[in-house]
Amino acid sequence: MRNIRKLIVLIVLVCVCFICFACDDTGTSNKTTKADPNNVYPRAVNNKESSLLSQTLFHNNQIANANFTIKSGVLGSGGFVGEGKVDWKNQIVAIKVYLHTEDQIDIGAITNSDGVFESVLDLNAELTAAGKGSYNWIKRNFDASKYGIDALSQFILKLGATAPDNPLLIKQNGAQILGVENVNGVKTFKMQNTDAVTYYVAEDDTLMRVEADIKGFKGAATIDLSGQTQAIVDLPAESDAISIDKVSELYTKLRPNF
Amino acid sequence: MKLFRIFFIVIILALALAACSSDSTSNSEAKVLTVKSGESIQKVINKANAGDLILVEAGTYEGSIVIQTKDITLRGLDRNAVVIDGKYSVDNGIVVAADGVRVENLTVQKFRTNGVLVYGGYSDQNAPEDSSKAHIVKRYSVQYVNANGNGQYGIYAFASRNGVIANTFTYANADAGIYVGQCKPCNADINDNYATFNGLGFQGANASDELYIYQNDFSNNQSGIHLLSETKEQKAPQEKVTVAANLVVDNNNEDAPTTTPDIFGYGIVVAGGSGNQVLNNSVIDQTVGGIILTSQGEFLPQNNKVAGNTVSKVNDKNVGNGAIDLQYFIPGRPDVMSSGNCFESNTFGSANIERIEMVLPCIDAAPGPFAASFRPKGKTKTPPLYSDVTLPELKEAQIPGSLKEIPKKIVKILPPDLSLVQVPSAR
Repeated sequence: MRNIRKLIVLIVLVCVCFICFACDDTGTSNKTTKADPNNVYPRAVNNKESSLLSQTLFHNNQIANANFTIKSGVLGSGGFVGEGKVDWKNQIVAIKVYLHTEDQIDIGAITNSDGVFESVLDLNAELTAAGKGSYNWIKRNFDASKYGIDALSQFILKLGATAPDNPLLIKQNGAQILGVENVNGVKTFKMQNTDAVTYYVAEDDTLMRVEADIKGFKGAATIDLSGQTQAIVDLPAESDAISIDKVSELYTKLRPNF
Repeated sequence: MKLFRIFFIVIILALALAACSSDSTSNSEAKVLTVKSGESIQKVINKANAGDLILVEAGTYEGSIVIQTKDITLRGLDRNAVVIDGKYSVDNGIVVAADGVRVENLTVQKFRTNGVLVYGGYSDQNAPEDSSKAHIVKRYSVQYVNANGNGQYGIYAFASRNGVIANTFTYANADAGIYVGQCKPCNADINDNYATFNGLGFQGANASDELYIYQNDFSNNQSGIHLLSETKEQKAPQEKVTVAANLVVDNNNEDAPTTTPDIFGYGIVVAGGSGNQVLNNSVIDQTVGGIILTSQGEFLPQNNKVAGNTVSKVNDKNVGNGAIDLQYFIPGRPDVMSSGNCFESNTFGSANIERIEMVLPCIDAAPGPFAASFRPKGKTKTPPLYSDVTLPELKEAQIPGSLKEIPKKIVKILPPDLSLVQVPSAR
């Protein structure tokens, strides 16, 4: 009888231990060895990260402007290097492109909603020699399907949005975080939305770097942003520009295929 | 001794089971909790049990509030003076993540995404990646709430059902004043709201079944009411929504913030939706289009009924700028079939299909095809950032009845009697 009672007590104690163990949903025994899922990459973005991704392009518009550099491929072998300023608030972008060496600008453009001011190497001298007058800029219409420099300008302008994106849909549609990386001294979250563009976003929503395949170019481009809020873009004087219609033949010869 | 041992065993088992229980629901009587100015609303919510009423005294309360206890009511004691403020630095104002929650008689403003978010997948960090696995919030009520100056939606009911959004005021929200979507059935009443100066007055993306949008005033937004099917959200296509007796006026406001600058100047749009009824609305002074049935990507409009509406132009600025009162078109396809879409007993001045009510009647609809084309005019003005808009002084009506009375549990959302709904007067 005494043994039976001991057995009952033992069974009860085992049951209690089992129940307590089963209801410990923190999995205490595994806790010390389990890796933090937030440190595993790539993975789906969490709420904080989808919030960052939803805000970063809007943040660009809020801070108004930035300097940028852009690199794609190898100079002289179909690649290019560029630098410039973008004013998202006023929708103006100025870009200079180097195609062969980094000490010679081959083509530059300043673009806003009215069109494109474009300049190429020795433009003024060539126009003067041809008797067209002294101008530092050609004025033409914007056409991203025809001009590579316009496609770049368009892409950079679209890095500023007039409102935040929807973080719920960003998350629901499978945005990924690829890692945490340092970009120009700033800790960033490397994230990819469904548009296959990779964004490097700092903890204060600032977009530090973008990697993307820009339509019309062979390789991926890397764009670094810096000097936010200090990059003022001035438009050239209209009197310093001549319409492309007046010099189309000459300009076709001068202009690199970009 | 034996009795003692049995008692001991029972006590141990009871304690173990109690420790294991994760259900915090109490059987205690519902009570009234009060939040004074300067106190934390969230702390009081965290202490509340199902059925409790949380009264908030006048004051400005910063930060986000998350409600994860079912059947509680969060009510301001003064709709215009109880302000939940995000200071443009916090994502959501009030997150309703539990069933049966009421949010009433307060103002929520300046949040980076939404003023009020009704969504069961909410958590601080790791909400489910797939919202279809998230808890579907049921029985929600958002009434007599002001939701102004938010980066996405004023009031956003996402993947939720059985709800009421009524008597709200939404202003300067960059997407829509009110959104209901990714729900099938939605089973919701959206009525007597005033949405102005937003990107859209109302948006229902993939919102289907038992959704009634009636007696609202959607005026002076960039665009009015938009029902659409889309692949970015789940539960497409959009189907079977009733849009009745709404006042839709002058939604051509280029000075309002917006997430979609290209959507502008429309009254009521059904884009890729099916089986919707657009009835007895008053659509006035839209510069691009009054009531439009069109496609959205791969989704075609089918079996939609547009009847009894008044679509008019009272402002000379409409003349000559491409506004067409009734429109049915599929972009890229000048000849369209009826697909069961019909127009009946509307008062209107122009349509993009000649004799539209005769060739697309609601009885014995002809199969078509019908010549249909429309090219909306563009606009050039860059919209302001929502965070740059000055918000108006609030003088909105308080919720009627005793503020300190604990409301009944929300049980069922009933559809309106459409014979009784009336277009509201202009504000």
